[in-house]
This record gives sequence, C-alpha cells and structure tokens, in this order.
Amino acid sequence: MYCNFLNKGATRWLLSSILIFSSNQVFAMGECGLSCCLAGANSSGVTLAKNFGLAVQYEYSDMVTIRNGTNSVTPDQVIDQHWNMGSSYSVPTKMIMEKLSFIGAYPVNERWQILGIVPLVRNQMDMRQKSGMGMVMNMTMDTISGLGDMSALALYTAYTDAPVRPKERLTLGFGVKMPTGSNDARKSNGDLVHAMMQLGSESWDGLFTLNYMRAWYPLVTQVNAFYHLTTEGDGGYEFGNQYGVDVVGRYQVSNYVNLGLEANVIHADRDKDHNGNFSAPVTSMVDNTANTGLTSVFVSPGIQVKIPDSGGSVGLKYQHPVRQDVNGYQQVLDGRWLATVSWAW
Amino acid sequence: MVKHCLLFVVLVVGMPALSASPTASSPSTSWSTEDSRPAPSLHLTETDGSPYVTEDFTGNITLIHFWATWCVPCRHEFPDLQALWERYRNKGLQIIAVAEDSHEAVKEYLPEIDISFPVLVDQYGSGMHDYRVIGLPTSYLIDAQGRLLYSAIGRVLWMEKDTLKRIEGLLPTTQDY
Repeated sequence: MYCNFLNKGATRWLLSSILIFSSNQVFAMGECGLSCCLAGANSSGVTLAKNFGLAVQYEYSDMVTIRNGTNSVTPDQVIDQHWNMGSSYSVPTKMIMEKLSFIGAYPVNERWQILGIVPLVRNQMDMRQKSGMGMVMNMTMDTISGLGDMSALALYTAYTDAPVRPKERLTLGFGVKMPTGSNDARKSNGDLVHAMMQLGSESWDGLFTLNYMRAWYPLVTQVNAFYHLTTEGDGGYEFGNQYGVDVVGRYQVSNYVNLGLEANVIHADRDKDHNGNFSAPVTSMVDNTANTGLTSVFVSPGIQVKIPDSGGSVGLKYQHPVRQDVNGYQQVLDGRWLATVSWAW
Repeated sequence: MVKHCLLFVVLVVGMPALSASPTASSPSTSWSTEDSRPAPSLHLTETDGSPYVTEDFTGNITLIHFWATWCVPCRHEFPDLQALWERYRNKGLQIIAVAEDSHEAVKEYLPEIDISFPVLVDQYGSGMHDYRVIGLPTSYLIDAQGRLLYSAIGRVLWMEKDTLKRIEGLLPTTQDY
C-alpha cells in the first residue's frame, strides 16, 4: 500500500497554465482561448510525469450572441445600422470553434518543466448578408481546419513548501507562441477569410504566466495571471494583447474525484490591421478592427476524475459567460466545453 | 453534441466506480532490483532548515526512506524502522528518512514518533526527482560501494525475516571489522 503522487491532486494546477496558451483563436476573439482552458486547473497529472506527460484536450466553443458594448443585438439590427444602399454588409450569425490540443510535458528537474502544445483547429461560420440591392441571404462559409499555432513554455517553481501535496506554491512561466498556423486562407472570391477564422496569427508572441496556489486540503485554491504579448503577423495583422486572471477553487470530494469552480476574467486590447489586408469595415462586421477588443468574465464549473492506480485522469469543464463588454459590435462566446484526458508516465 | 456531452459526463462519473478496486490493506514487502548505478547525491535540508549534503554513500549500507506526514502507510513504518536502526546502527547501517513535505509539517509531526535516525526535508523534490520516486513510501538500499541495489515502493515490513536477511546480506561480516 502506498500513496501514488499521481492520485494526490496537489500540483495539477500546472496544466491549466499550459492550456491557457493552447488556444490559437485567442487572438481572434479576445475571449476565445485564454483562461478558457484554465479548466484543467489542477486537472491532469500531466506535469507530474516522471518521464513524460501527455494531455489531449478537446474544446468546443459556440458563438451566436452579438454584443454592442454589454448589450445584446440581433444580426438584423447590426445590418440595419450599418448597411448602405449600393454596398453589401455581412454579419456572422453563428460560429463554432473546435480545437484539439496535444500537450506534452517534460520535467527537466525538480523546478523546471518544459511544455509543448500542438493545436489542431476547425472553425465554421454562418453569415447573413444584405446585398447592395437590399436582398438578405444566409450563407455558410467554408470550414477552415488544420494545424494552429504551436506554443512552447518553460515553467519554474519559484517557491513551494513541499514537493508533493504542497500547501503553498508559486510558479512562473514564460514561453513563445510560434507562427505555425497559416493565416492566408481565402474565400472563393479570392478575398482573405476573416482574421478570426484563420488557423493562426503568423506571429511570434510572448507568453507569461504566474500561478499562486494555496491549499487547505481537500480544498485547493489558485490564482492564475497571464499575459500574452502579441506581435504583428506576416500578413500585417496584429491581434490585441491579452491579460487574464483566474480564481480557481477545487474540492476533492473523494480519492478520485475533484469538483472545481472558477472565475475567469480576460481583457483583450483592440487588434491592428497594419496593411489593411483583413479589413473591410464598410461591408463586414467582423473585418473591422474597431469591432475587436473586449473584457469578459466567465464562471466555469468542472469535474476531474482520476483513474485509480494510474497516472491518468479525465476532466470536463463548462465556461459560461456572465459579463461581456466589447468594443463596437462583436460576436461573443455563449458557452465553451472543455474535455481533457491526460496521462503521466 | 448534447448527446456526446451527456455520454462524456456519464463516463467521467462512472469510471471510478468501475475501475476503483479495493486496495490491499495488508502490507507486503516487494523489493525490486535496481541497476547498481551510483546512488545520486542528496542536497537537502534538515528540519531546522540547515543544508544537508551527502555526495558519497560509500563505507556504509544506507537505507534511504522517502515518506511524508500525510502518507498513512508511511506513518506505520517508523516503529519498525527505529527497531531496525537500533539493531544494525553499530554494524554499518545508516538510515536517512527523506520527507517529501514542508519543514513545518515535519517539525510538527516528529514529536509524535520516537525515532533517532536523521530526518531530512526535500522541500523542492530534488531527492524525489533524482531517485525517480513515484509514490510514497519508497525505500532504497545502497551498498557499501555506494551502489543503488534495491528499491521498494509501498510499506515494508522492516523486521520481517526476508527483509532482515536482505539487509544482513549487505552488511560487512564480522571478519570485515
């Protein structure tokens, strides 16, 4: 009889830090990606691996609501306010973002861990367009799918009072998001697809994170802060910087089950389209950098189940928006599911 | 999508019930043979926070015992470990207990047990990492040449005949003194 670390659920918060950055569409819509995944919070023992840890996370984001500031507006209202005779105007009516992320963790020593994140992305969007002649039609855009922007992170344990089952721990992380996802997908007419629908940002971005954990077992609390320093991509588009804070509480209800509740706050600065390649403000709501940048607050309940006598765990989390304050008009997240399976060897 | 989510929830909630088998409560000693590599050095701290470094394990038989205050099986081992220590301490056995715990927790716990061998604190887990410890308690036996010979994950019956025989087999014989 012994106590397997992988079942102790003490330092599993690390994965959350990892997953923060595993979203590539973070850049597109400020609230996508980010703390979203913070769910993993404490989840998965992937970073407790003796030799190697692997997590696979599936993310399903559903977006229908359009906001102006904090108010909800319909697609038709947006069209009515922006359409001009002789010029078409289009508005998204529904968007689904799916992402499958593979996350590998390698412990260099007791204080340093290296993480690699490889996301596969699939984006779909339905639009409503009012033509220059006043005809309204609904249409579905081509699905964009493929490799997203990969990230690499180094995590450093700055302080812990104990290596396993700590009561207090402070971890710092930094890394880079690489331009592995393309941003040159085009519509049938040859125009570039909206920046938010592209697989990547074609930019090298800096990632910084800080995590403080305090435990009163079986209750574990955490505060995560992260900063995503964006740069201009090859296509001249620069997503806004992102700042996030997550407050996480997890309660171990049994040896194998943790319940979690999080509050996620994300702020994204306004995007910049330096060359104007992705901008068409007169004809499209989404191709307008004035309609980017926001502040959102989510509440996210979740469950994590550890597979007994193994290094495995599975988790499920749902993110529900409680406040969204956007610049201009933006389609926002109505809900996001995150399912994670992880294993440590 | 809703169906898939519901299915996932059912699987997530149901999995522990399906896969959780009762853990054997009776301790058993199961030793594994290590690869005789040189035992990693220990860079730890004593319970008062002062550094404790052991680079070289040659000259004595060393039992390194990784444990934690919150680990119930670990707690049960100390009476037997103390008995083992008293039996062989003058015959070339040294015991080092390495706590994978906080200084505060260890200092609070030590008065509850009656042991006289050294207890060290592995605050950042360097010992655990170097020795590749994956569960507690874990014990390692190092021979007088400083080689890692055996390991045992889980509770060990230290005064059990087979365990004593294993340790005695490593100790110097009378003629060696």
